[in-house]
Amino acid sequence: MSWGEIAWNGVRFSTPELWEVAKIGPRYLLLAYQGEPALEIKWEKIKGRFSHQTALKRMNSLHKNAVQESPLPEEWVKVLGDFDVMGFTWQAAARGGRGAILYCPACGNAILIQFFGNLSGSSYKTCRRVLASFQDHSDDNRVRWSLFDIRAEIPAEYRLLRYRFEAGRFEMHFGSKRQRITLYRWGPASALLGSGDLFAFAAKTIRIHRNEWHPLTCTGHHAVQWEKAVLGGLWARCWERMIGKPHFQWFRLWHLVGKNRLLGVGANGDKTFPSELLDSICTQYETL
Amino acid sequence: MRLFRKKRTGAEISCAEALNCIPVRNLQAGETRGEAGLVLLCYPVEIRPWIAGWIRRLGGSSDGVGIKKLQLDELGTAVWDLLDGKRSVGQVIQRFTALQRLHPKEATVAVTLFLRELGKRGLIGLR
Repeated sequence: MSWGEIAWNGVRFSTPELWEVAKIGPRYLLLAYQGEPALEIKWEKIKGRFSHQTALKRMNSLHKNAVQESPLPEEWVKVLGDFDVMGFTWQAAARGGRGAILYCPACGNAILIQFFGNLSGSSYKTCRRVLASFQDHSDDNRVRWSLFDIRAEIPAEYRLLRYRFEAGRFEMHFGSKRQRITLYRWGPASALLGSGDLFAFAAKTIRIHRNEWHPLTCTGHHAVQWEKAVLGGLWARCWERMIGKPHFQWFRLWHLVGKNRLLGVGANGDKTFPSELLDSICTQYETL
Repeated sequence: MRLFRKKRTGAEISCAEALNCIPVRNLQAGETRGEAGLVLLCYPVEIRPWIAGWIRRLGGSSDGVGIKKLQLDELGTAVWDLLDGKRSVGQVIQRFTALQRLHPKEATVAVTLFLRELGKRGLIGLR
């Protein structure tokens, strides 16, 4: 069985590749196997003290007292050593599940993680491996995003604002104060480019005339880039701000011929982005 | 508001059962290929009786059946070509995923939505 990594809004873990992401929220993931729920994870930053008992009571009030505290298997507790842990089980008419409420003293995250179904020997091992790979914060100041077939690393100060995962078009928007970064992924490239080239696609999609884009190479792939910064004095900048136009705008799109995908990164804000930051985001942004 | 909710008719099938169904083309649908190899589908649609009546009154001839056209793009044509009456929905998705090098989940969503649209127009049926 092959495994893959999922990283979303601060949490990271590995799952069997057959488990598909079925539902996504800003701090929520539901994975399904063959159309049936397999794993659910919710997380939240806690301000102040956290009580496992209160969290369990809240779950019980939501699920008509179907949830019971239950000790976790020894192996699970061992792999979750970095967390304060409380195990629980629940049983409903059609299905049941087993999970844990975790609290990370290092970053103050409370996490609810549960596996659905009646867990047998092999699934216990699978769950153990999922839990062993689970991380809710990183030591460097970057957050990894890895979902479906894209993987990127974004500086931690950029929070997820919105996202869209549609067939053929993925978008993830991040923001920090008035600075914005957007990741794009389009596919299949052969159909989207048609008889045109990357310039034509960029001009049509981003709505910037094709003559304003210039060619370059990004991570060994053919790319196009556009950049605009408001020049001039204070008055020009004030005027741009009054009409709501960002001082700095930047786009880079590149074509991964082997993967039949188009990737893009956009940035805009009131301050010019350091080119090293944009380059590092582009370098680490990849399709799997 | 429950009174006004649309009643669901027919038995619901599971995801696995739906993927095992075999899509079959409507034999009455005509297919023509353009220069770029893109498929143009022509299919009969029933005109509502009162509209057919008006057409007749205005001097036109209407037997109650009109012809509609649907121009498929490159991806639509690729899926249409895979509907051979033998492959199941799941197999069509697998083949389409491999052909276009797409993520399986993405291909599943795209193909099932497309097949649903074709089904709504009466261009295919599921066996």
